[in-house]
Amino acid sequence: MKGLVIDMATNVAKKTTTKTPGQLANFTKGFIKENPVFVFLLGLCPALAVTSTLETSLGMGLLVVFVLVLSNVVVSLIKNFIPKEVKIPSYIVIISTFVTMVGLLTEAFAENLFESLGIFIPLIVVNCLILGRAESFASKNNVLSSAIDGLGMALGFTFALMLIGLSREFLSTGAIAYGEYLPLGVQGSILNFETHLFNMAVFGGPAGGFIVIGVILAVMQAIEINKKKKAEIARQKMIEEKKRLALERKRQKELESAGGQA
Amino acid sequence: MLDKLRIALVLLIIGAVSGTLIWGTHTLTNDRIQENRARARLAVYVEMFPDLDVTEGMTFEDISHSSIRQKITMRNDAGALIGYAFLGSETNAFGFIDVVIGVDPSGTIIDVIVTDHNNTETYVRPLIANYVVKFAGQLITDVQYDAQTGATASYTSIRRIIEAAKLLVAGDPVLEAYQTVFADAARYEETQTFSSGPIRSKTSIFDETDTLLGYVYESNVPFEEDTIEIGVAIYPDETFAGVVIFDETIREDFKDAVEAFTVFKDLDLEAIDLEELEDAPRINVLKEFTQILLSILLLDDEELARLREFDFDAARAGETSVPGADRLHETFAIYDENDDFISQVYIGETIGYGWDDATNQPIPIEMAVVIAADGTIKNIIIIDHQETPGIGDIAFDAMDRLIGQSNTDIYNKSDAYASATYTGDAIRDFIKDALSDFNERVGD
Repeated sequence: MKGLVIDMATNVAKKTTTKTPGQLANFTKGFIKENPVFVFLLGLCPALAVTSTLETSLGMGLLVVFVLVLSNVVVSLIKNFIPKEVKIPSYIVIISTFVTMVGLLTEAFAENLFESLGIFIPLIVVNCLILGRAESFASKNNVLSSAIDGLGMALGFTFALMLIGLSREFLSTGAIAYGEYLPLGVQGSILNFETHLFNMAVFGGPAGGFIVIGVILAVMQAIEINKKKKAEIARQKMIEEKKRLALERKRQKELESAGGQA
Repeated sequence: MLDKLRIALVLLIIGAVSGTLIWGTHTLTNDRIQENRARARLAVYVEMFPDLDVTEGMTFEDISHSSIRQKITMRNDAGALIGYAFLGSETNAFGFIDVVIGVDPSGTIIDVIVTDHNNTETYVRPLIANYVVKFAGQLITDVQYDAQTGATASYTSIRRIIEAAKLLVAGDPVLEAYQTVFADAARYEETQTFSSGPIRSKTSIFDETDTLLGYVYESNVPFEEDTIEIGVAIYPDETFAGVVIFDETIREDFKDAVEAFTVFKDLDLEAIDLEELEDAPRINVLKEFTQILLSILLLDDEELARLREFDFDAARAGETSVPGADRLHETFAIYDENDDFISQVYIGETIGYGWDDATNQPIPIEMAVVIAADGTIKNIIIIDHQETPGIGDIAFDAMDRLIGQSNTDIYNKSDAYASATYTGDAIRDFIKDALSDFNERVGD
C-alpha cells in the first residue's frame, strides 16, 4: 500500500512537471530542434526568393507568423466539424483566406514590402510549412497548443529567413538596410560596414541563396554530428564505468565467498 | 446522402466565413490601397515631368476602344503645357502589362515605364533594362522597334501600347479617312479580309457609343503607274454612303471625283447607275472598283447559296449538266419574279498550277462564273484554289478586270489577259468554256 501511494505521487509529480516545460518546448522546438527550414527543409521557395535582404526576410517571416498562428487556431477550433473527406481543401480555404487578408493589409500598410515580395505573398498559401502544421499538429491538438506551435514554428521560420537574409545582404552589399520596406519608423537607413572590396554580388541572386542555405545546413549538420559523437563517447564511458563497477562487485563477492570458505 | 449534405454545408459555411473576412479586410484597406496606387502613379508622373503642378496641372481624359485607357495632359505651375502621359494596358498569353508613356509637347518620348505586369519576371526585367529604355528620346510618330525582341509577347504588348499612344498624338490617318464619309466615326474594325479577288477587306465603322455606322470595302487599285488605296462605303441598310481615299496626300486631287459620287448617297445599291458619272480618269478609277463591288454585293441570294452548297466531289463522280465541257460541272439559270432570264451561272474546276505531291495529281481551281443575260460577265468567283501564292494572285487580280466586260470583249482580250501564267490560262479557259456554252444556250 505504501509503495502504491509513492508511485501515484511520482506519477502526479511527473505529469505536473511535464506540462509547463511541454508548452515551452512546444514553443521553442521550431527555433533549432525542429526548425522548418534548416531541419525539415520546408518553405524553401520563399527562403530562397525573398531573402536577398534582411528586411524582406523579416517581412515575409512576419506575414507567415500572422497566417500560421491564425490558421492553426482556426483549424484546431473547427477540427471536429470538418469531415475528413474535405480536410485538405478546407485547410487550403482557411489558409488562403488569411493569406488574402494579409496581402491586402500589406498592400495598404507596407506598400514597399508588398511590391518587393510580389508574387510570394499569394504563394504563402502553398507554403508546405503552413499546411503541414495544420495537418500534423493543429488538427490533433487543442487551440492553445496549436497557437503556441504556430507561433514557435513561424518564428523559427522567420529566424531562418533572417539568418539567410542577413548573410546574403551583408555578403552581397557589405551593408544592412532597414526602414526601407517595413514601417519601422525610420526612413530607409543603412548600416554600412564599408566592405566594398569584398562584396560578392552572387549572394544577391538565387544562386547566393542556395549557397547560404547549403553552408548553414552544413554547419548545423556538423554541430549535430559533433553532439552525437560527444553523446556516444559519454555513453561509451558510462558503459565502461558500469562494467568496471560490475567487475568490482563480482570480485568483491568472490573475495567474500573465498573469505567465508576460509 | 446526409453525409454529403453535411460536407456541403460545412464547405458552404467555411466559404461564407472566408468571403466575409476577405470582404471586411477589403473594405477596411481599399481606400488606403487606392491612395497608395495613386501616389505611386503620381511619383511616376513627377519623375517624367519634374515641373508638373501636381495639384492642378493634370487634366484626365478617359479613352475607349484603345490600348490606352487614359490620357493625361500635364501642365507646370505657370499653366504651360509640358507634355502628355498615356496610361496603357494590354493582355497577352502570359497575362497583363501596364505601361505609362510620357511624351513632351514636341512628340518626343520622355520615358516608357512598365508600372505593373504579371508576365514572366525573368523575361520582362532584362526586356525593360535593355530594350524599353531605348524608347526614350525617340519621336513617338517614328519609333524604332527591335526586330528580334519584337517577337516576344511582352515586347509586342508594349509596342501595341506605344502604337495606340502614337495614334492619339498624331491622329489616326485611317480613322480620318473614314471620317470623310462617316463624320462620327470613332473606331473601326477589320471584319473580313479576302485572300483573292478584287476586294482586299471589309471594315466596320462605329461611333463613340459603339453604334455601327456602316462598312467600307477596300482595295488597292492601279492609277497613273501607281497604286492607290480606295474604299467604297455602304450604310448598314445597304444604301450607298460614299467613296473613301485613304492617302491624304492625294485626297485633295480626288476631291471632285469623290464629290461626284455623292449623287448616289442614300440610294439603294440596285438603283445606282454609274453611267451617270462623267468620263474622267479619277472618276473612272473609282467607278471601276465600285462597279466590281456592286456586282459582287448584288449577287443574287440564290446564286450565292447554290455556290456555297455546291458539292465538287459529287460533281466529279457524277454526270454534269454541261455535256461536252470537261471544266464545267453544273450550270443553272437565274430568273427574276417575272420569270425573265437574268443570268447563267457556271460552276466547275480548271487545272492551274496547284499540285498535290501526295497523290501526284493536280489540284484544280474551283470556280464559278456568272454571265448576265446581255452576255457580259457579271462575276467571277474563286471558290477554292491551291495556286502558288503571288503568281496565282496576279492572275486573280487581273481576272477582276474581266468583270463587266462583254462576251466579245473577252474573246478579243483574253490572250492579253492571260498574263502567261498557268493560273491565268486556266481561268481564261474556264471562262471561254462557259461563254461558248452560254452562246449555244442563249445565242448571241
